[in-house]
Amino acid sequence: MVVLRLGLSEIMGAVLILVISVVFGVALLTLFINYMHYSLQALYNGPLSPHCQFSVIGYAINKTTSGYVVALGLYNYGNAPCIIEGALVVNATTGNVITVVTYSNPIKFNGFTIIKLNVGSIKPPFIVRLYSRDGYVGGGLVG
Amino acid sequence: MGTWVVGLSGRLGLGEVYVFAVFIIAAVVFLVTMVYVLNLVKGFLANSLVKASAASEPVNVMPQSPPALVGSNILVNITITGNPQPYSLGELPNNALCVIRLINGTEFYAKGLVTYNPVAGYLGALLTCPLGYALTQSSGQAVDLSIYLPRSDGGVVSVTLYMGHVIAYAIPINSTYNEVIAVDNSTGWVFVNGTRVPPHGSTSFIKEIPSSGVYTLSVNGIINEIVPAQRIIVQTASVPVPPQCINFRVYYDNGSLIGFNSAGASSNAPNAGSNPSNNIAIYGTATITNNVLGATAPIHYSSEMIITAGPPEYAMWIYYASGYSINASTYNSFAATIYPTLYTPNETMYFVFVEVSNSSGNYVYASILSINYPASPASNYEAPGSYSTSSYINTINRKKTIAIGAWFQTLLAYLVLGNAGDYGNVIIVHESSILENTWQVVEGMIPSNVGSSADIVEVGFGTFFVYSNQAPPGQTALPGPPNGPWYPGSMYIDYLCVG
Repeated sequence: MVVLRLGLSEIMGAVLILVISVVFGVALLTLFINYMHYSLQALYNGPLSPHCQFSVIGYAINKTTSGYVVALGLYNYGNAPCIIEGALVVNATTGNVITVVTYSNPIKFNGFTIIKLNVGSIKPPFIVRLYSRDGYVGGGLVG
Repeated sequence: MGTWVVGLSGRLGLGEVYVFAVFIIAAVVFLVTMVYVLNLVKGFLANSLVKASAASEPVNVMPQSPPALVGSNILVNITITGNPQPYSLGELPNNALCVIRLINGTEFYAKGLVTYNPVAGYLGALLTCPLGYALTQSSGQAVDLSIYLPRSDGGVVSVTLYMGHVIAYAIPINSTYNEVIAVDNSTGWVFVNGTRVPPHGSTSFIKEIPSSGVYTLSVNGIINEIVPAQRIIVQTASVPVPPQCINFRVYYDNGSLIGFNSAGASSNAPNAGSNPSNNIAIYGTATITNNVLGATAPIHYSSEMIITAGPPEYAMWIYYASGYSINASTYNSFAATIYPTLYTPNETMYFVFVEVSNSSGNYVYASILSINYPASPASNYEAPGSYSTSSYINTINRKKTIAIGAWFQTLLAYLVLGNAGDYGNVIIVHESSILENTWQVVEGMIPSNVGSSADIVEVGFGTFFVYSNQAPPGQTALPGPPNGPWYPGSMYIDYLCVG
């Protein structure tokens, strides 16, 4: 009579498979979590990141002794403060840049604000493009 | 030798349980992570889609009442209708840009405050603009008040009130009341007597006629402007009916050309017709048109002369109906109502005629709308010979009448009497001035010397073309145009009566 008994090799085999499975699973999970982490990081650094977004909602323009002064109503609908560092005044027909205006004291704002832009002798219509520190560009046609 | 039976256990061992547990935990972690990520992406995409669709959705902004000056603030009550999604994306900005533009071009601006009041179906907003002081600048002659409202998605809606271009008309409807029509001739909203008028819109109301005859209508509440309502007399297009058509024999007024024929001739070739080889071509058409110019189914008559020879040349085209027998003594006048249009000034003459038959022969009596034809030298006109004078010739400009009359009578004699040599039997009995693009009566009287037994046998109308480079007296003659130009002579005709 032969008695069938499981030997040590089977136990070791099961343990080995278990260990391999756990290691493999942990490795896969780590890889997946890392992938998702970087993907989400990119999303948060991109579209979901706090950043400035603004639009020009209206304007008023007056002619003074020193030239035309444009008042622009800006609204920051992003989730970070906007810091306007400068503007371009662009020919509305040709698209050529007429002049560059820089703010020595950048304009920082949340929500709504009104800023002034002295464009000198440049007569409307023209396009104003405002540049924020984080790279966002907004503007519109004046005149 | 026996048979060995090996008993295999069906139970899972500890190792398998661990493996499954790890797999299940990994699956749960994976699923939870995926759900979280998908929700993030879904939210981001939904937000973007809403913004994208909101930007393309039309939004209507309407002021609800005239702007009100309260202290130093101007209050404006508006409603916003349309796609509400842009206003549910987040907190609505509570600021706006207010701009008042004065008549001298100066623009005042300020940060305004907005209080939103969501109501089912629309969004109400009350704006407070601290620009009351602007109304005292430069005599306060404000042109408009514009308000720009930012949206939480970066968009903007705006409304402009009052641009001061209101025109008002008062139309009498009876001896007591007028209907006043106020027209907003601007791109902004106005309130006339408290009634909201959209850009380029109008409103009307009944108003009693004041003894002064002058109305004053208020425009908006704070930017007052007195708009006088101009009283106007309503003119409707109407076709004068010749008196001959009241007690009459009417040959045309019922939208029919039955019985009418046409014919044409020119000075170059009496039987020129529409044959260009005869150097000068003349032809015409007449059709019944739909109701136009206040007339019911008038005839649209169109004729033209095409020049293929040098000036001077003359041509004529007529429409006529014959075969009648109307006593010319009883019914001794004839008339038509015509509307001259599209013709060459001083080159095209319209006329109406009747042919009368008596015992001594046939005669043609014509009434013409004269043209300011240059005076002689007659040698330039290739006059056909002596002119049969008549006491009925208008003597205001006899020379002109004679000069034209020669060829006019020759061609009409040829077309109606069948013999150009009978030009002496063609008599112009009335001449009046042509009025462009208006209905006018052309009429004439048949002289009593035709006798009591004379009959009208034919009636008709037509055009006479004069092609000449003759200049008015004292001026140099213009060079003749090259061959080929055409001279139009079109009109509408609504009556042709003998009465």
